[in-house]
Amino acid sequence: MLILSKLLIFILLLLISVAFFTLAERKVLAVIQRRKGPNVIGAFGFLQPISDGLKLLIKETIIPSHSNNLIFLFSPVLTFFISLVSWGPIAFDKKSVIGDINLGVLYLLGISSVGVYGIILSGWSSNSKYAFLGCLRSAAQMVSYEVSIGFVIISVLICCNSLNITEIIIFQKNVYFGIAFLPLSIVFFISGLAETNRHPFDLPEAESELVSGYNVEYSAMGFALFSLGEYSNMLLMSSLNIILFWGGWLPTFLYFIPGILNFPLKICLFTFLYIIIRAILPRYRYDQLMLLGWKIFLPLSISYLILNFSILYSFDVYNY
Amino acid sequence: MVKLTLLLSLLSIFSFSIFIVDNLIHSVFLLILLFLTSSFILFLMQVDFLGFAFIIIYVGAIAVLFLFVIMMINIKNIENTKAKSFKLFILICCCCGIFFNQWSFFFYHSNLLYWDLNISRLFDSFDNIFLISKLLYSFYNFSFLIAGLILLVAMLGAILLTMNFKPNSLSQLSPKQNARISYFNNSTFFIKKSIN
Repeated sequence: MLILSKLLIFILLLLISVAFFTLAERKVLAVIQRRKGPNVIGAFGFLQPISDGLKLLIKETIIPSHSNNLIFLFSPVLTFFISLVSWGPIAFDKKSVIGDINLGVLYLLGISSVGVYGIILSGWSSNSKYAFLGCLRSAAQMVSYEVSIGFVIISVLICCNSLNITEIIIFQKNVYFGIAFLPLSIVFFISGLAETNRHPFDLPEAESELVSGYNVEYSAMGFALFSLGEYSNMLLMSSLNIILFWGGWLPTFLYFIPGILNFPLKICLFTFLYIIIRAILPRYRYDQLMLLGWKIFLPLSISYLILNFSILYSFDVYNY
Repeated sequence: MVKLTLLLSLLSIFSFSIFIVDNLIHSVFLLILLFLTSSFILFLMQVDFLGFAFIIIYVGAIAVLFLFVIMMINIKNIENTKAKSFKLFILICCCCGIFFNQWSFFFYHSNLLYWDLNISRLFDSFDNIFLISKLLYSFYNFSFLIAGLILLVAMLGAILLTMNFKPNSLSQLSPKQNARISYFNNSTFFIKKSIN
């Protein structure tokens, strides 16, 4: 019973944070572009996400006549489910984990592999050319950048000998992995941008190229679930980045911040980074995107892994 | 034991339904469900690393490859002109697979953990990855390297089979363009004239 209430509170807080993340994105984008974001509904636009959610709920759900109904209705559910379920092993504090499994990082990799199917299913079942093209491009992009994410994770894991997230964080007590492996953390961050179909890698869902890509046929609640899943995936990638490279819930040089707030504040920092990168950079063309993933990041991460392992082996400091 | 019979029956249902279903992509989705079910069976047998590896490799990469191939090649669905009794026959085979799941009975009544390799004292509290790696890189290292070589041959074969050497294809970043870049006004690269 206790675990059920824990789960419920966690999902509620996650959804609220995702909703206000949309508002934060619009406001920060606006400030960078020298305008004001939504400020009409509620003070400083605070009720904007609620009104957006209400609008999407009330809207009519349109199912295309030639679509595969079961898979059409199932794919946003799958995407949202995957994005919620992958928050299981994430540790917010020493004992604040929903499920502290010993293979937490492997679980996250597996879940993101299944998350590709939400997009493939949605694009295929829409029975529309643009959606199909968008889904194939998006799936190929996600699979490509997952490979370099995997190699970056392995480079970190051979140093700390455990896939358990709490142990990875505790291992960084003295120095963060982001300071020791700064290029790797940058590669992981950019691959995380590509994995979540986020700008500058959001060609599969760009409005001018593909008319919103794989979720073009989804109105109302389906679209709401897709966008909730995308923002939740963004938060998840930020938190994975923080866990692997920037210390998780460990205190920073600002010692006055209470312990439980360290992790959320670091997530806030990374989401700001996501939004700022969206505001600043132009979009990659698809072949440039794939070139980056396969010809630049993959050799870089593999060679960094070999370098890392060679250093550990030659100084004889690996321990298993 | 209930979980294992349930999973094995799901396994038999999915595997039989792969060739019952009319739509080709539904067959691939059932194959994905089959891979997921087999990884759940592995989780049930406490081989957690292999379960996750199945999900990452089979569901995440191989099935995506199958899907891409089927989606991009314009395959017409085969009309099912056989009589209805064939489907009924397959359904009955399915039900037999469910009800006569003897394997689950055997799994819980066998002692297949104690080998004759004098490493039984390692089975106490080490995790899966340690145990697999203890054998894989020492005793079976030759097989491991041969498996890597086989994968390399497969990759090279796939690339070579689908590559067509076009003599007049327009491409950027060619070696000729690179040779025109002179970094210090003195150095150029020496290239041979290539056929393509």
